[in-house]
Amino acid sequence: MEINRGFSRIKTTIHFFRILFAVTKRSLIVDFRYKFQIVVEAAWTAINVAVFVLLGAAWQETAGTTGVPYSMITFFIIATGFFTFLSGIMETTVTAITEENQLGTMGFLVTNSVSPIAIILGRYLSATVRWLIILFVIVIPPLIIKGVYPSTIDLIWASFVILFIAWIFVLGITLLLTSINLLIKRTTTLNRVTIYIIRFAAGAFIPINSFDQSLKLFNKPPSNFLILFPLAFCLEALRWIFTISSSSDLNCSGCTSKDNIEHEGFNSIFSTNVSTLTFSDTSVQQVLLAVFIFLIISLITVSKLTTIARKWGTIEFY
Amino acid sequence: MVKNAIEIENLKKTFRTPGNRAGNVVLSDISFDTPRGDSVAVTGANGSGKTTLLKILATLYLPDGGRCRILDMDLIREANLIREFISFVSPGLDFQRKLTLNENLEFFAKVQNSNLDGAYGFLEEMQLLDKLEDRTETFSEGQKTITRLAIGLMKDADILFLDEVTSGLDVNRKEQVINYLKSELNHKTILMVDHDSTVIDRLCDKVLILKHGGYVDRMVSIKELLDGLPYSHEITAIPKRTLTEREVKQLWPHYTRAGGTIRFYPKNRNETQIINTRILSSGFISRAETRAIDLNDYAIRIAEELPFEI
Repeated sequence: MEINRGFSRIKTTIHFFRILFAVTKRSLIVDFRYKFQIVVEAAWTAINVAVFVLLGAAWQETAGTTGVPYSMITFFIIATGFFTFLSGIMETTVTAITEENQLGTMGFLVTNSVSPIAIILGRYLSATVRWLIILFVIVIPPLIIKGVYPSTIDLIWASFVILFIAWIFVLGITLLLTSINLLIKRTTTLNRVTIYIIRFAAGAFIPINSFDQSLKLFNKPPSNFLILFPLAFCLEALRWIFTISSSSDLNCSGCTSKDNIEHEGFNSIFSTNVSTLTFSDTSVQQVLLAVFIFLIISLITVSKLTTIARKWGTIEFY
Repeated sequence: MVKNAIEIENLKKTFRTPGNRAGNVVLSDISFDTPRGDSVAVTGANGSGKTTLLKILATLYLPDGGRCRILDMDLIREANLIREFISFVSPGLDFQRKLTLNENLEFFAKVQNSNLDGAYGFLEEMQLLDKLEDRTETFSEGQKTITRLAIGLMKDADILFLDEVTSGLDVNRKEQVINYLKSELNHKTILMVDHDSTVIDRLCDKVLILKHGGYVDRMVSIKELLDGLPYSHEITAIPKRTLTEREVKQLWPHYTRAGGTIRFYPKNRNETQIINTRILSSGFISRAETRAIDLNDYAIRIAEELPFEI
């Protein structure tokens, strides 16, 4: 028997990624064995897309958006795709600890070096794969048929950058929500409420600049504050990416979008300093830095809650 | 070279939750050492903290106080490192039932960084190798017990924490498991909890006796414990009517009375036979039951200070 403390940190890191791969593979295998669940999720997504397209069409008749390049149909269809993907991942992942506890597998996993962080991350990765498939099969085809897609390679790349930022931020929220289950066992309502609030705050139901004309906060339009919420920024940026004709139109005032709407510049509406929506842009880097800091805080929180759960003895019980 | 596999000094554990701030004291003061290669049975009455002790040592729970070292590693600060050298098997621990037996084994082999040979060898011995491609949701309790052990054994751990590992097994399977563990885990350190004294007797060298409230009563060798037994059986008799002292003494002079029940304590099999013959021919006992005193029973009596002398 040889105890090698010197290399333990490097070894632990390598071993963590091995564990993460194993947990992700395990979750994927298990998830795809619940075929009925996947069919229901796909059907639910299709219904959502259809309903929100209709809602957008109906709303377009009575309401308009000021300054932004997208119609209400695009507004809703992008939000539906965005949140189908992200809240789908979240909803699948937040039950990870509860399910392990219900199955009685938690104790075996923890004593075999599989930490709750690895369980949550593994589940998050497998849920990402699952929801990407649903996104590409159910949501993307109607978008393409409707002509809602990025027009240039630059904009396609920008959409990946924005989705990545949103994915990291949602990972942070998911880690926090899921880890509560280490101490408190029934959090279904909390999860639902949180997801709903996030959707609302991100501007999935109402454009974040809706009240800019009528309401001022510290002498500024409310959208200038709401855009600081990473998901609101990502969703708004994604809507622009899908409707402007080229990257240069992002801050073009008086340009006409693919939805035939004359729009203002992104920065002039939201008082931001975005130029390209790529990783080289300083504002995008700042948002990315903020979401990574949030992710690190979430990881530290999960680690602390794991310690408390081991102290309270709630780590393996349901 | 590490001499002791386990070194525990003044270990304490109280389960506190927001709803119960005072908490439930499970372990008050546990101190003991286990040299490498020893196999120790932890025994004591229900609620004396046996499983909690195992779960703390297996790094599942955190202790509240005391000094705990496993293979000279600190139980709190070096838990991740310790997990490489230990295996914990308990009926409370389960595996993903939507996966096949082989998928479960592969998963644990991956996370334990071990190979599957140990598990396959054990499964072959237990005639469960043909179930590799079956989903474990179809398994019986006995087959799940074997699977748990297979997962626990594949790591080739230095220390095994075994909690009721033979529960759910039929007599033949239990015998097979005991034989396998006895031959394969000969030089391993084992700390086990089991209510079956045959399992303890066959697999352990020592018994750690815990008292109610979470204290160590003593750690003794199995031989010492067996030699100390003042009687071998307990015969519980229910009389048809209230018997006089003289009538009971006619059956056997060493007895206790509790309510309407009389208990006789023969020292050996021969005396047991004599008492049973007398009970049968007396005509005033309606029902009698004979039970061998086992190690657990004896340990609990020691820990709870129940009388032995009649």
